[in-house]
Amino acid sequence: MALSSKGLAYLVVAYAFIGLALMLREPLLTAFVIPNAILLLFSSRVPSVRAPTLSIARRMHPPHSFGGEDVDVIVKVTNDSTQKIEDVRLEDHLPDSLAVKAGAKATRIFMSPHETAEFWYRISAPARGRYVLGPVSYRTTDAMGFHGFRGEINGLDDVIVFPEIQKLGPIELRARRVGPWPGLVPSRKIGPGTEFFELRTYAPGDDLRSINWKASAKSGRLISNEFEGEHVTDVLVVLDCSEGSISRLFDPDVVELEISLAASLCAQLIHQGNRVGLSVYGAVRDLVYPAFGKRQLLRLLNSLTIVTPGRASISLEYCSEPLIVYAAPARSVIVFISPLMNDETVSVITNLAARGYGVMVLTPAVISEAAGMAESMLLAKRILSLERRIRLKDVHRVANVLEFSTQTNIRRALRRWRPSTRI
Amino acid sequence: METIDTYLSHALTRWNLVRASIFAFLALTFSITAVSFPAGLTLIAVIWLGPGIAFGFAALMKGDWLWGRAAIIVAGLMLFMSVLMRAASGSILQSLPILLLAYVMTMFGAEALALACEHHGIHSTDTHAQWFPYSVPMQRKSLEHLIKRISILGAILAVCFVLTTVVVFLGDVFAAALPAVSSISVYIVVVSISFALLLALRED
Repeated sequence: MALSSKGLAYLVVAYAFIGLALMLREPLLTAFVIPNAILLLFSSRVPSVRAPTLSIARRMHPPHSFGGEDVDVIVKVTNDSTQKIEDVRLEDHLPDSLAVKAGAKATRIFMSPHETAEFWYRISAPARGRYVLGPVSYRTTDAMGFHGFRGEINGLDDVIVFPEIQKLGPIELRARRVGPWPGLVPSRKIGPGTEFFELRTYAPGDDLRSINWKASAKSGRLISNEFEGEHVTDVLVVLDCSEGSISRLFDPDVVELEISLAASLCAQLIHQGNRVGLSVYGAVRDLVYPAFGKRQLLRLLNSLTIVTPGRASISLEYCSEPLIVYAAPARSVIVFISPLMNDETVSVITNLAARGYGVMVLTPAVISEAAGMAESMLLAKRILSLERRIRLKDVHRVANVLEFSTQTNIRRALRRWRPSTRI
Repeated sequence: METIDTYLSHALTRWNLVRASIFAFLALTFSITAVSFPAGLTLIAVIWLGPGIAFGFAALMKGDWLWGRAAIIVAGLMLFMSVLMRAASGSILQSLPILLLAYVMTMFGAEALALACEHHGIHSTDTHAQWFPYSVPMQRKSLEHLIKRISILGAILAVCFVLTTVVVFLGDVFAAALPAVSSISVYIVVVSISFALLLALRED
């Protein structure tokens, strides 16, 4: 145990009085040293402080945040030893980007053996991402506070803030390939569904509700309606967050909007019963193979949580295209969310369309404001914008394209938007 | 059976009482230090008195140790000036008991203020906006611990004062009876410091 700064201060005061006594040649001044000496003596005679044996458990509420909401953290401390803990100062370590809005992340604890204590703090609406809480540091001192030591209790927990999910409503997809399970995607084949497909002669066993009475009256024999079967399909959402996303052509929040859109699409497509996968391309690359269900949605959201825009180390054409082809079954739907800032992306989209995939492209719209921009920057922006327009035209030939901005009501835009039969 | 609300209101009352006691003690410390000044310089002491008490009050109200430090620095400076002036005027022997009392009280005031600031977060009503960050048992234990520490410190520092006065008194007795050991108190001090130092700096 090292002498604490307080103990050192008491020693310094004692020596200051000795020095003063020597300087002024006044031996009585040394009398002031006696209290300090007694205190130091007392401090050294009391039983030495031991490192506390504590365990930490955190509880987060909500356990999974979707952004824009505060997160409450309850820290449960248990004294695992048979010793009584008199006074230990605990402090939970948070990343710098998190701010405590209420409660306290530091406390003092006084615990009996095997007792449990709790303290609580509220983190102010963290942005999307994964944050590590902990470890908890402790500081304990002797009765006088002259000796003490510090340590850390291992116990790390994650605060996961998923991207914001918007309710998009039913998404109309056209797919060349559908699965055997019932869903919402027209299959171009006769089957259970809601859309009229053709008429045929009534066959015994047909549902009476399927009889088309008007056609039957005209033809003089019973005619049944046939419907277009609706099934699920496989969808791979490709999120391109490479450096182009952070171009000044777009709104600064466009990356978050792209991520939120990807999360909302994944949630809605999973909700519609489809098999959904995700490929992320940016400073962080990730691939989630298509699957069904709520657990898959959690996997997709986890992947979107760690998305970081920036330069990718490997080109899209080289790494993502083979992976997309590997992950997505032939002729399934690929939803490409990309700013379309380089020819390589267009080439990948064209190649995928040529391989028979149905490609939908969601791309951010260019913002028109140029206030306060230098002439050269304005010119550069105009050139980039024109280049992007040419790329958009190329993409339009092979895929369905929807432009969106931070002002766009995505839900309304998707409802109005009808994918062409090219898919 | 005591409800949580009743308990919390009682705990708050006890906490306020502890703070009020510390404040009263601080005010007394500053007053005694002011009294220890030579008669002609009491005005200077009175000028220092105001800021010192104000800093102490702010520290207790806000639980901010920065204000506490300011109050302790003011008290320390006042004491230092008083000691220097008494030593320069050669009247240190007559005023030694009161100077020692002021010194010990300043040390106790500093300790009590530091403890109050450390425990402020647990009892502060600012943090209780929507939900208590600390459980009722934690608050109770904190208060018990605070009172216990202050009592122990008070007792130790009282013993310090008594022992020091006895040492000084014995030194005077020895000096009168046997002039050769007139500086016996100095020896005692030096030996005790060396002993304390050795123990304090030991590494486990």
